[in-house]
Amino acid sequence: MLSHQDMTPSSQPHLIHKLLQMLALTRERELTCDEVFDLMDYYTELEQAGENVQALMPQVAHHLQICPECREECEALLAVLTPKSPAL
Amino acid sequence: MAPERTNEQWISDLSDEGATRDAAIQYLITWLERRLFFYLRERSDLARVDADELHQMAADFAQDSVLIIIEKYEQFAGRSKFTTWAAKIAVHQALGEMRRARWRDLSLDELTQNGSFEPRFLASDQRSPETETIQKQAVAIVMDVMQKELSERQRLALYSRLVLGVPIAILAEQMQTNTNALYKLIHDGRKRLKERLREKGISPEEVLSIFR
Repeated sequence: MLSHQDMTPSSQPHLIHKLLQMLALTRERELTCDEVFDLMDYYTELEQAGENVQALMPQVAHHLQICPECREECEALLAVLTPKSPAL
Repeated sequence: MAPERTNEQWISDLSDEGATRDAAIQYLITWLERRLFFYLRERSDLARVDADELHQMAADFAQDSVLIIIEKYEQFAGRSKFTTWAAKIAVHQALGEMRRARWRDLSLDELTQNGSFEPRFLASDQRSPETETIQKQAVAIVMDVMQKELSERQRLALYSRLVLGVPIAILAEQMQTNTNALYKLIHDGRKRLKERLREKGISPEEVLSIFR
């Protein structure tokens, strides 16, 4: 279990940079994780086909910049669909 | 392996009650298991896990995913191939399980054990007098807004995501809400912080450009 001491806020200068990056990316209207999940199969197929997903689905692309879990799932889905093993 | 089914065939086969359905389900389990195994094998954080264990993990994830797929296949909207949609569910299931295992000991209660949560985590960098002044200003405003205008839950959620990197689904469980509501809570907090910075003449983009 994480102790309280581990989580005690301390001097972490990179955090303001990280927060400002998040704020810079913040938009009035954003898709939620659930909305992105609904579109992720379509988005990934477009990406797999070499389409410009940033232009075709900008709101999904934007969410993936903000949300590390959705980004990880999208990358994983792409990897699952295009495995390195030739036997598949 | 049988030739790939069309989306319509998948829906039709899974709707069947006999051997056709069983064959479709078995195909799906095998296909997902193989794909997940090769994905897991490439993950750097699983580099020390042996192949047998990875096979077992892939098999478990595939089995669990197919149960969900069987339950939800009528919701398939047909925007992608059926197998892509199925793989999306499997990836979500697999990564969700791995995140739950990684964060199983998280206790947000300990974060707030003093009764309130203080957002003192934003410290000023000491790069140069010029950047330091602007940065200190930005930090002061952000901390002030966080303290005065964000709710305890918003502060806790922002801190947990930004500092601790807690996955949103795990955090939602801990905060007894769902990912959608939690995303909106954090989004509202981010919007408020950005608005207040703008009102004070500070643009996050400009402050960032000074750091570069």
